[in-house]
Amino acid sequence: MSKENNNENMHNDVRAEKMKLFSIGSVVLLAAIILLVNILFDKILGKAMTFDFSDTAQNSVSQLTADYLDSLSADTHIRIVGLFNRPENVANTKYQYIIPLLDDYVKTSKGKVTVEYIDPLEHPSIINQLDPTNSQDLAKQAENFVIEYNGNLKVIAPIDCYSYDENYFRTTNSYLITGNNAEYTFTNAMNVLTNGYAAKAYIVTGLKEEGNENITKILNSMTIDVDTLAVSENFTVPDDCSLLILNGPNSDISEKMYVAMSDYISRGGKLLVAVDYSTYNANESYVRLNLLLSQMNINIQHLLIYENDPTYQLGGYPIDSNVLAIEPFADYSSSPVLHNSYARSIAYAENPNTGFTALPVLLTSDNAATIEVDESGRAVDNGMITTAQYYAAMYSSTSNADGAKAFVFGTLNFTSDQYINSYGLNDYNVEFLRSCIRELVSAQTLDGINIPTKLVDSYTLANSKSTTSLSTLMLVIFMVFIPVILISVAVIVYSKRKNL
Amino acid sequence: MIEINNLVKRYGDKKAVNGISFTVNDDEVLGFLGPNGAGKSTTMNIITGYLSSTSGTVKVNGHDILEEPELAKKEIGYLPENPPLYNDMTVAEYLDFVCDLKGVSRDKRKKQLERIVSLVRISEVYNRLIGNLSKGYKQRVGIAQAMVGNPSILILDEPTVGLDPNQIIEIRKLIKSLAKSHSIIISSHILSEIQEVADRVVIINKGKVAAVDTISDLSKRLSGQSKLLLTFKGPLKEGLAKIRALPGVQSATPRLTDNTMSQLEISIVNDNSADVRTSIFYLMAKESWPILEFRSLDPSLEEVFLNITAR
Amino acid sequence: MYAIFKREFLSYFRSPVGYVAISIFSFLAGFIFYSQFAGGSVNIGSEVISLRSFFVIIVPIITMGLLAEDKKRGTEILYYTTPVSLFSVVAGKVLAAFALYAVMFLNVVIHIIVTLACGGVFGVGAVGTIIVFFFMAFMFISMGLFASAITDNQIVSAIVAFIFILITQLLSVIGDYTGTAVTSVASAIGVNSESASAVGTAIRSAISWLDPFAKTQDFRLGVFSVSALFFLLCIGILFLYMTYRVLEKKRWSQA
Repeated sequence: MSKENNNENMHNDVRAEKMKLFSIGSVVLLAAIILLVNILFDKILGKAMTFDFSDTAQNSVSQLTADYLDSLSADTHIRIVGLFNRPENVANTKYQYIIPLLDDYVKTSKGKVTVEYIDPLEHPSIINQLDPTNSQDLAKQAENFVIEYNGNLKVIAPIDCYSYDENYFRTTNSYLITGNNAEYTFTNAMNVLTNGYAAKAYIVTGLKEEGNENITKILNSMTIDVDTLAVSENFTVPDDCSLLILNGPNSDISEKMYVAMSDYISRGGKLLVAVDYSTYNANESYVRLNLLLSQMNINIQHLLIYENDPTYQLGGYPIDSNVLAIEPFADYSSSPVLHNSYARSIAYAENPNTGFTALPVLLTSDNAATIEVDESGRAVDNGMITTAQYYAAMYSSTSNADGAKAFVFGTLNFTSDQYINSYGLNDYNVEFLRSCIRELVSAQTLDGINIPTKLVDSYTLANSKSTTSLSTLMLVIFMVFIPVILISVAVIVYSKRKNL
Repeated sequence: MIEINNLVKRYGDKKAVNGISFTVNDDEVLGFLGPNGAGKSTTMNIITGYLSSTSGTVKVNGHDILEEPELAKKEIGYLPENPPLYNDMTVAEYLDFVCDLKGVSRDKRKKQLERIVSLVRISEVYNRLIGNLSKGYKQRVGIAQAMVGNPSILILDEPTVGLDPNQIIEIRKLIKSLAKSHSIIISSHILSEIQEVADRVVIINKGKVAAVDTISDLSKRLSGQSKLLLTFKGPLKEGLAKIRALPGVQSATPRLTDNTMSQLEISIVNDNSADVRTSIFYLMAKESWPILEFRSLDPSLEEVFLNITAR
Repeated sequence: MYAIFKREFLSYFRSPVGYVAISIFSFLAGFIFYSQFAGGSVNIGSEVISLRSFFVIIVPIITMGLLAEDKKRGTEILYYTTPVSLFSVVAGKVLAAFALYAVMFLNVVIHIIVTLACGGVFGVGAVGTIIVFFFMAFMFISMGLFASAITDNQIVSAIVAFIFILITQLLSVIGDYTGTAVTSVASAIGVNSESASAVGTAIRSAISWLDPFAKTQDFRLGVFSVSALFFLLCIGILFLYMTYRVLEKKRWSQA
């Protein structure tokens, strides 16, 4: 091939080369522009151009939270760290209502709140970074959230953010989420971290009681700080005590404690007492505690509530039953039907103190009985007393708003770790307990932010329509009838046109 | 009017079209002639805008096909080598679709289609599926398609290929009738086919224009070069020598021979002064070599090109 | 554009393809709806989300012939030699397939009516999923159309479209594996574990960022993100443009 010929070829090819260059170039350019514009759009306007149209605004913070975030000074920095990698698809995970909501916190707070997702397995340094003293043992909090503010931490587990169908949980041991408390949980945790506690509760320890982990968690979420008060020779109730708690003592209080607590009551103290009637305390009749409570017209009886009404019994057990919260306590939780087990009967004290008014709180059926049992759990002779309505809890107060108040529960189903661990923090009993605490520690001083639980959409059909025959009809119409008609039309059209 | 200037189309290292230029005048039938693979279809594809040329320009009624493609394409109706037909549509549906494509407005559509359908005579298959039509009807539907939108120029690429003789005659008649109101470019690799319909012929070979001429001039040129085929009972060598000696015979080459007969291909000089055929006849009679076959041979296109380019 | 749209859309119904595609869709949608109905609660949103996983089957069926068949029959020459622009050819074809999808979706509309008649809920989250569904349909149809443009064999085109859509659907998984692989390779060549995993995570999130499913998952909760829809639209347009370029290439290509 001569040189000239080559040159001619090149000259002739110019148009095609140009087209090729333009074609490939324009595709590459368009791809690059699209990528760039989308990254910018996503990063800059992505959040602003995201709109929550959900009925209950599941994934948006409410005005209460927005107001709270606004009230924070501009240099506030609340750091939320999810101790896991952000799942790409949150649908149907335990994070499904949390992660989108946290994104909205970031958007609403205008930089005051940041959210990160860091898996401690991949980045072990995060644990030390968040919690240098290892006070929270974050290594065990994988899959949970940590909120950090000025070195103070709060750990939030996803299940803290939900209420769920209890019956479903009891039968299947899995959660069917019915309500979304994510905003409640996160906003209150931040509130506690930024504004500190509104009140202080003391839990008496040393009376052979069990753990207080869950009640502490509940109190903390209500911006109540918690400390323990050990039984000792020089037992006194501190001045800053807004609420004194006896959670499941298996032995009676001492004389010294009786004196100190009587003094506390006379000063307008608030008392929360929960006992039960189990093999650990079958012989205990709480003489001095009753002496204390009788000042408030309440008596803890040495009798086990025995529910005879099968509609109240849970799983057919007479000592594991429903109790009904009555007015004015009926709306303390979403459902007035609550649970008790191994409950001591709580009754009015025999010699009324006119300064206090006692009210029944939790009622059995009309057909309940009380019995006395021995340490092995067997009924003692003549233990059975006539059937009637008994109280599983009572409330006492004075007419004075600042006066002493007390809730006395004959069951530990409201406060014990065992119960709350089994049924979760969103159990109706826990909800009820929260209301009781709110009543005792006057609601005004509790600066918690009470964001209502957001109901999760229910897709249930009307009962009358959800029948087998109707669903069979659906099967026939949608899976047989319509496809078969379409296929027949296809065959008809094909055979008709084929011979045109 | 189409002006084609120095078209080049390259595929890889090969030039399918290498510098073709010619002009098609208004209301003229231009035969576009060339052997298979000469670049006829490529050239027509470039003229109609299907392909873009590597270099060179095509102007259709003044509109450059690359710069004003829509205006240029409006002027052209194109029947490619394989008619662009949807076998799953009826003729009616198909022509309606082509009307949509070419932007024929609703109110003009019915009249125009009626005219085309009667012109190409497809009314009896109008509602049949194209896939079920014979080759001849498909070709006519293809021509109908090209006529939709009243283009002033029709470009027909091998419109009679694969048709039986009756169909070929029909299509030729059709083209003749269309020629009254259209400029037509019609391509073929068969000379006689073009001779029937075309006013002017462009002959291309190996991507280049070999000749542009009117039909009558071409005939004249080609008649200067004619061949005869002679088969006779007699000795080959002697016959060959004797025939070569005849006046007017340019050359003679043996084609076939066996014990009983000899076949010769004879090129004659066309000077009209001596009728070579007469002298061959008398030669054979004199030698008592019975003539088994004696006819003139149509020159192959290649030979035409050789001939044309040789001059 | 209208001419191409009309022909392609009607051709779905002139051959069995359209009916078969719709009846497959009806059957699948019907199955999902029936299962939910039998369970006593119907969430149209999750039905629509489940239906998205069938793009991988249905889109190749309806896009495979769009351009490949034209090339095979030689009818594509009409698009080049008549005064329509190639871009309107592309647009018409994609619209036709999209319209077929809309027709299929009538099934879900019937399901919605039945659900409402039976006292069920059709919430804003379900509307979100439907919006996403159509944007995704557009994107995947564009991919299918591109697959149809690069070959003249319908089967090849269907397989290519299938692979495109499958890769898109598995983008998050691919991201995970790539991230993990990069991390382990980086560790193996002696990068310290923190930065190795940082690189792995970066690659994983970069790939996952492209995942249209992850981008639009919040729509089912009623959270509408304009940027996610814009992304789907852009990817669809990119594929349409590439399709247009492939058609245009036919003109000047010298191969």
